[in-house]
Amino acid sequence: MLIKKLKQLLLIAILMHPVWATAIEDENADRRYITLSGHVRDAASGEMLIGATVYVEALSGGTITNTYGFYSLRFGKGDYHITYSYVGYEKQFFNLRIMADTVINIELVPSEMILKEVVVRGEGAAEQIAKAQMSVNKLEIKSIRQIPALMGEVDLIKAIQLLPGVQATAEGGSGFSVRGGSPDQNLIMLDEALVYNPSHLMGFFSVFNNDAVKGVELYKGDIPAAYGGRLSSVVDVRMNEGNSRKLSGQGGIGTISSRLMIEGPLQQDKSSFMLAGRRTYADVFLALSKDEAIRDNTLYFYDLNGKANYTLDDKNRIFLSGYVGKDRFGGEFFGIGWGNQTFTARWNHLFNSRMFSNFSLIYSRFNYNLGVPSGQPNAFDWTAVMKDMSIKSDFTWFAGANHTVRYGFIGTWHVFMPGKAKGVGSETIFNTIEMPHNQALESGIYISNDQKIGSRLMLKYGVRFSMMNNVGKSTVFKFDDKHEKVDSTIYEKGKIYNTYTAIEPRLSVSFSLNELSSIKAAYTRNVQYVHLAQNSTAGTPLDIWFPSSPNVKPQLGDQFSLGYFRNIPKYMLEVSTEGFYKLNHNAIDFKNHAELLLNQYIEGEFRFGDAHSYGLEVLVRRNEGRLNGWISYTWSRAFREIPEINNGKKYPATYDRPHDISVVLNYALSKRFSIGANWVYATGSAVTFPTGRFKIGNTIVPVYSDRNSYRMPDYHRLDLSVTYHGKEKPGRKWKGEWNFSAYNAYNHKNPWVINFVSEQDNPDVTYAEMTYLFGIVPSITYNFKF
Amino acid sequence: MRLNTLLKLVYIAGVTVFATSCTERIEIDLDESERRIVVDGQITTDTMAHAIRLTTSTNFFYAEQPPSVTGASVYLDSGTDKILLQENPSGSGIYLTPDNYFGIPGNSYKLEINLDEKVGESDFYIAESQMAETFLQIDSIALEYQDAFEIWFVKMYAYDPPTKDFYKIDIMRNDLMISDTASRAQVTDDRFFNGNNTNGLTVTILRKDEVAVGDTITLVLSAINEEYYNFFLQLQTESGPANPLFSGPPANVISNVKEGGLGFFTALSRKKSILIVKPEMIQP
Repeated sequence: MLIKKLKQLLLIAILMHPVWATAIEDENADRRYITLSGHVRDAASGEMLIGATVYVEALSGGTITNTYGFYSLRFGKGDYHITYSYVGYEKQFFNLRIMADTVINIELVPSEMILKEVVVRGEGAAEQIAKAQMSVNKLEIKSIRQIPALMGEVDLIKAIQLLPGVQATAEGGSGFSVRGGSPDQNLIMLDEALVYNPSHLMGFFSVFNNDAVKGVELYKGDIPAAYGGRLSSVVDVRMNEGNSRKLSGQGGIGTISSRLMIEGPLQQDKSSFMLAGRRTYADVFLALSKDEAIRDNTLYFYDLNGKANYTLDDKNRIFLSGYVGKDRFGGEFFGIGWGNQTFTARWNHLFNSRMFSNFSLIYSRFNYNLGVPSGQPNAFDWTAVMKDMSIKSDFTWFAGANHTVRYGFIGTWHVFMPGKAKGVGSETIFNTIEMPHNQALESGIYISNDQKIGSRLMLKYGVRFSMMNNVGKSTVFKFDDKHEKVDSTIYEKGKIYNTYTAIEPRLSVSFSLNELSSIKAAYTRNVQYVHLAQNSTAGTPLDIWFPSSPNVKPQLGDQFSLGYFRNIPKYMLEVSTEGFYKLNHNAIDFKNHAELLLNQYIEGEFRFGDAHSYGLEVLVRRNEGRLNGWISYTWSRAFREIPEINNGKKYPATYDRPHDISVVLNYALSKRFSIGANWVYATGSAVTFPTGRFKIGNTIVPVYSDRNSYRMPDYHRLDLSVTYHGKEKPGRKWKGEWNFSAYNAYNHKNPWVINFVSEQDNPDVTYAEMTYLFGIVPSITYNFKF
Repeated sequence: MRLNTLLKLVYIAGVTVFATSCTERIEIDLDESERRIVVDGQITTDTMAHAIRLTTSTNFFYAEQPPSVTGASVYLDSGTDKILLQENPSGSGIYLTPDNYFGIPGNSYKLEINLDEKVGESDFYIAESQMAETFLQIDSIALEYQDAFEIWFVKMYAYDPPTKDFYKIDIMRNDLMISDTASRAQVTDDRFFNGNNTNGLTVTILRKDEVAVGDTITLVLSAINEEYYNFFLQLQTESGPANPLFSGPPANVISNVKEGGLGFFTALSRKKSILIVKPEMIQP
């Protein structure tokens, strides 16, 4: 069944081959125009640079390299001054007479002098001003590393949570809400493979090992037509490709984990590999404990990343990447484990200098298990698995000086095995309970055009057509008005028993007021076909994802954004202000006291309604110079209105936090010393508190307020770090640095949860008690490169 | 299997190992709450004076026993006969059946409450509960000490019938009800062991100092209906601590008292199993 489906998907992907593209090239009568194309690489490692700027002075514009470091520009024959630049690299420029199609592959040299105040870069920033794309933030791993981190574990997700419009769902958690959306509305991808649960250790750390990652792009709105399937955001994480010049590595020894990454050429300048691993060693300390209950526990997580790429020729390149991560936690009486596994195989093919394509095969899996070891009457083992297999093709046609057309296809075969619990061992008394499996085929086809009209106006318009089919074998339950199961239908294997389709328009426009400022606007519609059944705020690894079905309509999101963008070259500042309004139809919530685990009638626990959010974000960012970082302020509101929840009254979402400030700064004191600081402030999250109480026997029972009508105290925290770089000696390859950090430096007690409890001596006296997770948390990390 | 208990263990261990989690008393202002009638009572298969207690709800920080609702006419209808309960002592808000009253499995019991004056919207409240018919066959109980946690597992040997059943487990030490709060009592469905022998399944726990030589430990097992099972689970969740990892949004405990009352009136069928603690049981 699976193979058949995949064959069909492959066929569609192949049918989209632009056989005609070559023809267009030949037929192009207009010989006045030529194409300049090529790749931009890092001179030191040979790695492709994503988003490097190619600026053509005479055009007052240019382009940026794509995910594979490729660029293509079309303009008239003539003399040009062309600049190649990238943040943190020395720029290169050429004066060229270009009379025919030209390929220029560029290697940029990393700027070693961190103290050098580079004056006026401009071009890259100008490109950001001019292009129509808005609501996107890009973070390089270099700048993420400078942010002080909890226990010194540099964490990409925690860095994302500091961007405007992004809220952490709970202190120390890996969940986040983008512009008021639910945490399950974020499309988190590692080299195109979906990561279902990006958390380690109850979310205190994320699955992304900073040694293995190149950078991340976060789309909060104006999501390009190439992406679909989630309403709120796209988190596009790219792994390192590996150094194709020389064998090298980096790693670190930290407070809770150690890391090592090795990269090098497989064939000089042609192919390379990268292997990275990380493991915690808390369990080593557990073994030293005097307490037997602690000593017998196992507790660790690890990550393994691997990537290899091979350049076949000028036009063909192959990439293989994979990730395996696992958490394990257990003792004599129980154990829990979970992990993600992803694999991506990609083939870049250049049909010609104007037609770039990529074909991907993607596999992604998330599983967890929970249980009580055998030998006890209550011994059981419970497993749940989700897996995706996708086929994807993306094409970029650099059609002309003013048009760049992108189109493509993706088909994903989802398999959900939401839970199987069974007794284990001879003494167990438990029966086997298995939730019905679900299969769904999700597919999307898209086309979009980036169009330049005159010198001031840029448009990006496109449409995505998406579809989801529920495929048997499956049992579908029918529920009555009271959400009680009344009937069930069994569909045989391979039978498509339900189909949803949607048309998702994506539109954005930018108008340059001058070279330094622009106004942008966007409207996008997104559709989400798979959802997470999770009603706690922080989330757990016990995630149950489920597809839309006859009982669950797809979630639909409309977003409008409007922004003003301005560069201030004198201070190397990029300033942006964006307002947004978001409407989410068929938003999913859960009935009171919902039972979401091992419940085969789980669809009966869902309640549907609308959600909406709006807000204003301001970001001031400085990417270069001794002092760099950003300051962001967000004012936003997020509400939900579900007829069967809160008596149908509108209520604030848990992650409705009207004011949110993040200050992220890094300052290079000297060549060897740098300091980092970040400060966050956010209005307390919306919570439900008791207003009344009654007694059943000796138990005090709360009577609650309307949902989320109270606020937690405001949240604020300062983190600091100092990095001391070892002395560099000529000829010595080893470079070391010490990093000292303090999370929550002024030791503010931020409530993680507020409970209402009784006094020990007089149980009739109740009071509010807050639990906070972290006081000041110091840590030391030693990082090295060789 | 109590999934929630298991999750709590995972969570407690996770948080204590990884975070320097601490608690602190804080001041919070809460709004006033509407006053509503609260019914707390049960009819069991034991022959005794069964009590229905009527109180009202209060503001959350009301630091005393809840106010009693006195002078009400409370009727208990078993389907075959309807009796008026006596408030005893007078003015206590506690309404009793005669001493020789006992419930019959399978019967449906209806409570009718007529108040002197309105509490909340109404002066008339009704609650109804059917007594479960099927039951575990208990063979015996046993104790097992867990050194690591300094607790006693109370293990039950019994046979569960193939019907869909719900149980409440209470534990007594001599004449003292240990499980007198929602957090110490347990409820369970038989989804995971339906029709099986329980094989010494741990059904509840006792603290180290709650077991001594010569003690009589009594396991009180009640067959309950699904509605009460749900009520009790909600009661445990909402009266206990919450945490952002595993807790859903707080929500009011669902009552079976019609017309906007709070609390629960239930009928349950009971069995007991007794164990006398001998010196050899205490030896590690």
